[in-house]
Amino acid sequence: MSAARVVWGARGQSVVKPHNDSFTIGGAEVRRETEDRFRVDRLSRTLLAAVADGAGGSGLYCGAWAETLVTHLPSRPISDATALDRWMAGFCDGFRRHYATKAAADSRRRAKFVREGSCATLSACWLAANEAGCTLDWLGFGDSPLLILARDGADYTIVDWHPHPLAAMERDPQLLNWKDTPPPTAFQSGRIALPARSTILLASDAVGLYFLAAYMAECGTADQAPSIQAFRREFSQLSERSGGRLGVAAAKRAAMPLRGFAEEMSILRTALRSSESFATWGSHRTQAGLLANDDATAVVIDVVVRQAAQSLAPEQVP
Amino acid sequence: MAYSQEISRDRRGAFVFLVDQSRSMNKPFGTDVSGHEVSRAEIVADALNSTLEELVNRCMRDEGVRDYFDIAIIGYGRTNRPEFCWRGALAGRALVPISEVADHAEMVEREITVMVRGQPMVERVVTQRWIEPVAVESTPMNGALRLAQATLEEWIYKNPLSFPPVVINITDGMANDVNSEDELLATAQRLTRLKTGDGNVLLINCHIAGGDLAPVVFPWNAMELPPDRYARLLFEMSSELSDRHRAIICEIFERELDTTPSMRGMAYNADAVALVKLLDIGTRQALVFSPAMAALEAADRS
Repeated sequence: MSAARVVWGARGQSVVKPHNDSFTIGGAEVRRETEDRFRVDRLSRTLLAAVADGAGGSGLYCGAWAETLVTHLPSRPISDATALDRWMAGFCDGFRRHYATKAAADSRRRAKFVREGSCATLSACWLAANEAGCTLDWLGFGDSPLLILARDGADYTIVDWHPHPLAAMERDPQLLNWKDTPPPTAFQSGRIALPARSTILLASDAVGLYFLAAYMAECGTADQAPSIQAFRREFSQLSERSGGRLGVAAAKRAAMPLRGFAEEMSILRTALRSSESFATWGSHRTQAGLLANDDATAVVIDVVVRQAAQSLAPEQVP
Repeated sequence: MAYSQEISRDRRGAFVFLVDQSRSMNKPFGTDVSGHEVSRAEIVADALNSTLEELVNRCMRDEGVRDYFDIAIIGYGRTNRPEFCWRGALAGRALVPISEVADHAEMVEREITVMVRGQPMVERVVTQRWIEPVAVESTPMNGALRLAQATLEEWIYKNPLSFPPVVINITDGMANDVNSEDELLATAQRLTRLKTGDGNVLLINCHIAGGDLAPVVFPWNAMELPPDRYARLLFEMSSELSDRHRAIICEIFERELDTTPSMRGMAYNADAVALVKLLDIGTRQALVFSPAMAALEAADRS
């Protein structure tokens, strides 16, 4: 049997929130940095991609913690909560010691760091090419969405997603913290054989909500697996709740004549070519009320799997 | 009136805490961790200091404390006139940016045990205090509400688009600087008629008693209250809370959102736990989309 040929292309960017990104200390302007981090890394026959959203309101040094999480991700998938805990044990104490020393000069900062730790979400995936095609392993902890979509021309069909259930987007997110042993119930993971053409989107919560709302605005109802129908039902129920994040995102989307999901993805791919263009993309949408004023991160991976005996129409992978 | 404005440095929020300092606040209210009896004034001071510390922590980033809020504390009962309670370098100030509040805390170092990945670890950290327990005189609550109104009129003039100010009034009794209940209600209504572009001032009343009677917290209907004129008066004085507050409260108190069509910001006969919960919920703020609309299509094309 001939091996399948897998072609992938990936792009990611992370930018600080458009408004209030600087403040003054002693007359000097200090520019706030994004607390999101992402990683796209090719490791032999594996592609590793991750997004970590540092939760600045909870704890201190959350950007550095998000950086630590994505940097330390191993080349092989983390498949369960025990493995996640074992992996974190390798760097938590070093992080704590380093940043406790850094905070020591200010007793209030040190108190906050000691009491609250440092918090971030983590969503990651590992794509591995193999004889049969391409396998994707993913993990999710918190509310940074991960969408796995099958692509057929301009049609996208969601295949799997994080978080399960979507109601997790409405609550305070579960966060990885160097202080805590991660609760197993908050860990989500999956493994999937990717369709011949697929797209994976990893994003921080605001960007993820934007694309969830865009997808649901035009998602058809026919011929869908029970799990996808359940996804649709849950999204609809949450969207109808007054004041919820999904409801607000869906209402904003519905109130404006906008592009279809495929066009939105195409624009995002273009925007991800540079940090500046992604910042402009986010800024326009924040001004339009479609995107929360938050740090924004997105990673898009396009995958094409060609079987040796199969003749697929050529497709450009960005 | 959306109560949806995102809190930012450009659209900061405001909290005004009104604290009853009348003589009756000396009455016992509960016990501390070592089992010693503590007064209402002590528990209120501890709860308020913890709330201020939490607000400072929520505004603290890697770079420093960011001015998301202005804070005022009005005490009533130390004398027969209400007064702002800041001490030291802040004495005499009304609403103070939270970075300055943070800079002027009294630091108390203590040892705490924190759990680090399941293992206990002893650390010495500072806790911050701004007010001390006071229980001296009468209950000039009407004057305190009027002082809050005058303070917030000016703040709203300077911050017309912000999330509306939240006033939290902690008391153990009826005002004695009014001739009638209607007079107090009218003062409260004048306060809650103040508004920003995002909604009216929210007045949350917490009546503490700590007796055997069960507290009534965030009632949606006056029928939930005991047949007590003062309870009804507090209900009338208290603001109806925003949908976001209502959703948070329903989640915390495990109430059905669908069968709780509205909710008043009040607690009656509150014990120490109810007081802390009310302060926690009352100081949570909206964090939702900016309502600004722009020509997105044109922007993307440009």
